[in-house]
Formats: sequence, structure tokens, C-alpha cells
Amino acid sequence: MSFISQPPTQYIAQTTDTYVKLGFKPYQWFEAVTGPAFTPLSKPLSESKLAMISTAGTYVQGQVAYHYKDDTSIRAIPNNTPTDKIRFSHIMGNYLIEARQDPLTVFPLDALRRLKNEGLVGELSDNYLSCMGGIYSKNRVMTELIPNIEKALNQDQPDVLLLVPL
Amino acid sequence: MCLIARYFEAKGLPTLILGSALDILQAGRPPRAQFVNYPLGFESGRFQDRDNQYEVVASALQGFDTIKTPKIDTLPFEWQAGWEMLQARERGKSDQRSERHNTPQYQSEEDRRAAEKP
Repeated sequence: MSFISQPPTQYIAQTTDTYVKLGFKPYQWFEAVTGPAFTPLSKPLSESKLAMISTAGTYVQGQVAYHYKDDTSIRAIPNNTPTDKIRFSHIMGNYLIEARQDPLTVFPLDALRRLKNEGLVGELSDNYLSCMGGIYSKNRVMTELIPNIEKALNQDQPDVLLLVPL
Repeated sequence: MCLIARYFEAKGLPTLILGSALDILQAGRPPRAQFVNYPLGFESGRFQDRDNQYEVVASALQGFDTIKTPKIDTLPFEWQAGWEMLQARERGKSDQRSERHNTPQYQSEEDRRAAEKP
């Protein structure tokens, strides 16, 4: 059977082009000029407590949804939330058509539970976190969003952090 | 997302991004990332495919133990049917990005009522 590999999509070029056509303010993706810090794990994943952040504007039915104008708030999503109560509010709703029927395609509640049960992950945070992606102001990410996340993580004290963007 | 990962990594918390936009990951230079070449919206696996969702997340998380210096690895998954599904759906449509309203955008009216219940 022949198989044609899909080349990686050029999202930055594609979106920049679309925004010009639509007359939207250009979005500036974060471009790092230096390499990242690197922290080795202090123990194997099988002994570590894992936290997760989703940037898909994930919320639980009953919580206030996100708004689309640089929302820097976060939501805590209990790791035992039933999948059918997971919702998304995100500007890129066209990428969430299937996820709204099967939230596990972007918010892997079941997979993480199974990994914990099988002992591949030591422990799961009681609450996962979510926020909005596509925030225009890098300054507000640094001064509002990240402190909100940091406060939540400080309560939870995870050993490792999984980030799942949309 | 890279900004958040870099911040917490620098604070001493090991991070790993599971993402599907390779160019955005490359621009952001995260400490650890796993690229899965699925359409956006399927970062943690194929639609209604619990086994694939498990495989993707399990493979991604191995990066915590295997990645020893800053790196973006590519996961060995392909999903041609997913790209075709997306192409068929998007054909002829313009960008459907929502307007940037500053009020909560609920997935349904039922959700709004549930959140606004006193």
C-alpha cells in the first residue's frame, strides 16, 4: 500500500496571509531569540506527579466560558470530570468541530487516567488547567496569564507539566 | 504555549508540549516538544479512536524520560484520512475565525444557563 506523507502545515504563513485578507490586526507568534532553560526530571515519569494545561479554551459545563478578547483567566478542570461535560470556547472554533463531539482529541483525560493506572505516570494532578490561546499581548501573557497558572500550580505541586495547545 | 513552557522550565518544572503546529513550535523553541502531524484539534489523537489517543499521549510522554537536551521530536503517527476529512469540510469556505467578543462564548445556551444559575 502506498502512503503519501502529509508535509507539516505552515500555520504562521497561512494565518498571516488570512489575516491580511480579512483586514485583521497581524498576530505575532512568540519567536524565541535564545534557547530555553532545561530542567532534568528529578525522578522518572512513573514516580512523578503530572499536571496538564490546555490552551483550547477548555471549560466544564457549569463554569463561565472564555471570551475571545485576550482572556487571561484560567479554569481548573478536575481530572475526574466526565468527558461529556468538557466544553471549548476558542476563537478557532473551526478546529474544534470534532473535539466538541469527542473532547479527548485535544484534552486527553482518558489516556492520562490509563497511563496512571498502568503505572507509566506516577500521579495525576487533582485539577488540570486550561486557558485561551491566541492572546495578542505577550505582556499580558507574562503579567496576567502566567501568574494565574503559577498560583494554581503552586497549590498543586506537580513534578512535570504537559502542555497541550490547540 | 512555548512562552509558558519556557517560563516554568526556567522555574525548575520540567515541561513537555504535545503539539501539531511544527512551525509555531520551532519559532518558540520549547524545552521539550513532541510534534504529532495531525490536523489542529487532534493533538491528543484521532477522532473517536481511544487506542490511538492512548498511543499518541503515551508516546509523547516518553519524551520526559528520553529528551535530555532541548528538542522537538516528531511522533511516528500519520493520519491521511484525517487530513482528507478536514479538506472536504473546509473546501470553499473562508476563514471561520470568530470575532473577538469580550463576553463569555458558550458552546451552547444550555452551558450559559448552567453557568449563570444562581
